[in-house]
Amino acid sequence: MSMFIDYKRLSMLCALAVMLVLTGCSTKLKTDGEPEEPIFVRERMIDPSVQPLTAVSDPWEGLNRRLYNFNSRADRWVLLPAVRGYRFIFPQFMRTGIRNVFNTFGDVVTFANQLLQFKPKQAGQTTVRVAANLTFGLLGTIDAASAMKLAKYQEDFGQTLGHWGVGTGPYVVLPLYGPSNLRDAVGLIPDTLLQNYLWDQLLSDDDGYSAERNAARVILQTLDARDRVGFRYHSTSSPFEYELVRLLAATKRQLDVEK
Amino acid sequence: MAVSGGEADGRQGQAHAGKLRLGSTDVHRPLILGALAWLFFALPAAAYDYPVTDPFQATVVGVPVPQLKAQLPKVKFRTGYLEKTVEREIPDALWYNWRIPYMFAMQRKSAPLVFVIAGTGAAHNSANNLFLMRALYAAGMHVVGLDSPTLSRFVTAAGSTGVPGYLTIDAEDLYRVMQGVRDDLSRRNRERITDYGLTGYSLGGSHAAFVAKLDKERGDFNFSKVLLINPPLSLYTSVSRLDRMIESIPGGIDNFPRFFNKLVGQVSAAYQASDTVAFDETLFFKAFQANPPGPDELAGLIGAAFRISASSLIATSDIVTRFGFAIPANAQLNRSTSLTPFSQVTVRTGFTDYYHEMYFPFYQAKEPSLSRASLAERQSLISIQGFLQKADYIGVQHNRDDIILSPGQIDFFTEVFGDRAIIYPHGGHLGNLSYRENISDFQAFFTEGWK
Repeated sequence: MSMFIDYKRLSMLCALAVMLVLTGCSTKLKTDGEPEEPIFVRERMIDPSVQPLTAVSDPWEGLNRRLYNFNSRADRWVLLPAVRGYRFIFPQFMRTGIRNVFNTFGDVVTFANQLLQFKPKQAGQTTVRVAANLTFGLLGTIDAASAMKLAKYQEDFGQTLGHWGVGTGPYVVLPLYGPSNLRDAVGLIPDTLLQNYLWDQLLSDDDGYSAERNAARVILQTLDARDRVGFRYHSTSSPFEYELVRLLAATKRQLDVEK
Repeated sequence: MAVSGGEADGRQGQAHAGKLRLGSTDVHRPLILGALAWLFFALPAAAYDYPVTDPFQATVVGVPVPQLKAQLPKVKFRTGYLEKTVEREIPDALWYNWRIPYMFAMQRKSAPLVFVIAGTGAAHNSANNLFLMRALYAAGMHVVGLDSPTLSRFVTAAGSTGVPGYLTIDAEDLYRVMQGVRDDLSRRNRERITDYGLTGYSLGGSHAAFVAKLDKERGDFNFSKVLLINPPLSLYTSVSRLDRMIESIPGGIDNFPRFFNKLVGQVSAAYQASDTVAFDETLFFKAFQANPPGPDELAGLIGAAFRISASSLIATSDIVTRFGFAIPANAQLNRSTSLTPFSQVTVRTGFTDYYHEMYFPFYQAKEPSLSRASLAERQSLISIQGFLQKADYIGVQHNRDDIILSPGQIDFFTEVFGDRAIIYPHGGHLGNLSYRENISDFQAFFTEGWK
C-alpha cells in the first residue's frame, strides 16, 4: 500500500493528524441506554493472560480508522481512476521503464540505509546493481541487474531505526500512503529528502530548478506506486479488514527489519 | 558319462522346466496379455497423478508444481455492480458493503452462460472462482463469478435474513442476484445468451444444488448443466469438522496466537534465507517446503483459516440483525468504532457456537416448532436427494479423502449421482481443483450436451 508522498505535504498532514488526535476521535462503544450484555462477553471468554492475535499497539485507532476510510475514498475517486488513465496512456513497456527508473532511485535510498546499518557487503552489492542499471540498463530504464541475477535489497530509514533498536511506536494510517507506524512514518522524511535531492540534481538545468518537471515526477511516482499494489480497500468486505491489514502490515515491517 | 548324462539331465531338466513354463504361458496367455494391455492402456487412464496424497497437505498446498495446473489462457474479466437487493438500510459500520460486485467475461458470439458460486466466506474473484471461470471461458462459454452468500458483503447487501447458511434462503438470495446480473448483462451486451449453466465449489456446490432445485420450480433460467465441486453432504457435519480442527493446535485455542507466531516465524526464516523481497504466498509455500508442519499443525492451520473467515461472517450477522451475539444489541456502531474486541471474541466462538446460539434461535423464532436436528437436516443434500437423483443434468466432482466429509459420506455421491459423479482417489478439500485432469473433466462436463 506504499505510496509516494512529498515531504512538505507529509509534514503538513502530520500536523493535521496531531491536531485531530488532540481534538479526539473516540473509539469507545456507545449504546442506547445501558449496554445490553451480549451472549459472548470477551472478559468471560478469554483468559486475560493470553496475548490476543490482534495485539498491535493502536492508541489512535479512532483517527486511524477515519483515515483508513478516507484513503479508501481517495483511492476510489482519485487514485484508481488516475492509475487507469496512466495504464491507458502508457503502454506496458513504458510503465516498466518508468518503474525501473524509480526503483533505481529507491536502490540509492537502500544503499544509504545499508551504510547506516553497517552492512558494507550488501551496500557493495547495491552499488553494483545501481551501476549495472545505469550503464547496461540505459540510465535505469531496464532492470539489467535482475537479468544478471544481482541481489536486490530494500532498506529504508524506518528499518535503519529498527535495526538500531528503535521500537515501532503506535500504529498509524497515513493519508493516501496507508498503514505505517510512528517510527516508519518519521523514517519517510529523510528517505524522501534524499530522493528529492537526487531528483533536483537530475531535473535542474541551466535555468535552474523546475517546479513543473518536479511536479510531473511526483505525479508519475505516485501513479507508479499505486499501480504496483494490488490491494483494494474493503475488498475483503469483512468488518475486521482494518484489524487484518493492521496485523499484516505490522508483521511485514517486523520481518523487514529482521531480514 | 555321468557328467554328460548329468548334463543331459540338466538340459532335460531345463527343457522340462521351459516346457512347463511355456505350457503355463500357453494356458494363461490371454490373461497375461490382457493384464499387459490393462497396464498399458487402462492403468494410465485409471491412475490419478495428482501428487499430494495427504489430504491435509493437499488442502493447504494445492497443486504444488505450476506445470501440473491446467494451462489456461489469460482472460480479461470485467466487474459489474448490482444495487443492494434487500430493503434494509446498510448499517454504518458496514457502509462499504452497499453494492454487490460480480465478475464476468462474454464471448464475442452467442454462447451459454455459466454462473460460478464461491465457497464459504469467499468472494466472486477468489482464486478458485477465477480459475474455474478461466476454464469455462476457454471452453467457449460466457462466465459470471458470484460472491458466496456467506461473504460479509453478500450478507449485508443481498442476504434477506442476514443469517446465512440456511440453504433454501441462500438460494433465493442468490437467485435474485443472478436475475439482476442477467438483466444487467443483456442490457449491456449484444452477445446472446443461449442457455444457462451453474457451478460452485465447496459450500458454493451446495448452493448450486439448492439454486438448481429452486429454478426447477421458478424456471427463470432452466439450467441445462449444473456441476457441484467438493460440496459438503451435511453442512452441519462439515462445519463441525472444520471447527474442531483448530483443537489440533498443540495446546488448544489459547495457544492460537503462539501457534500463529510460530508459523509467521517459519515464514520469517524462509524470508531471511531467500534473496528476494517478495512477501506473498510463494514465500509461504517455501516456508512449508523447507520445514513441513506436522499433521496436527496442518489441521490447526486449516482450522485457523476457517475460524478467521467464520469470525467475519458471525460479526456481520450480529451487526445486521442486532442479535447481541458478541456485540451489545443496542450498540451504536459508527464508521470509526473499534471492532477489535469483537474480533477477538468471534475468532474464539467458531461456527458451532454460531449455530447453537444465533442461527438456531434466530430461525426458531420464525418457526417455533423447529428443532435443532431438523434445522441441520434441511442444510443437507440428503434433504433434496430425490431431486438430485432425477436431475440428470446435475453432476458432481469430489475427492474420496475430502476432509470436510465424515467417513462413508462420500458413498452418497456415488449412490445418488451414479455415473454423473467423478470421485478422485485423493486431493483433500479442493487441493486438486486446478489440477489439469480435474479441469479437463470440468470443461468436458460443460462442453457437451447443451440444448
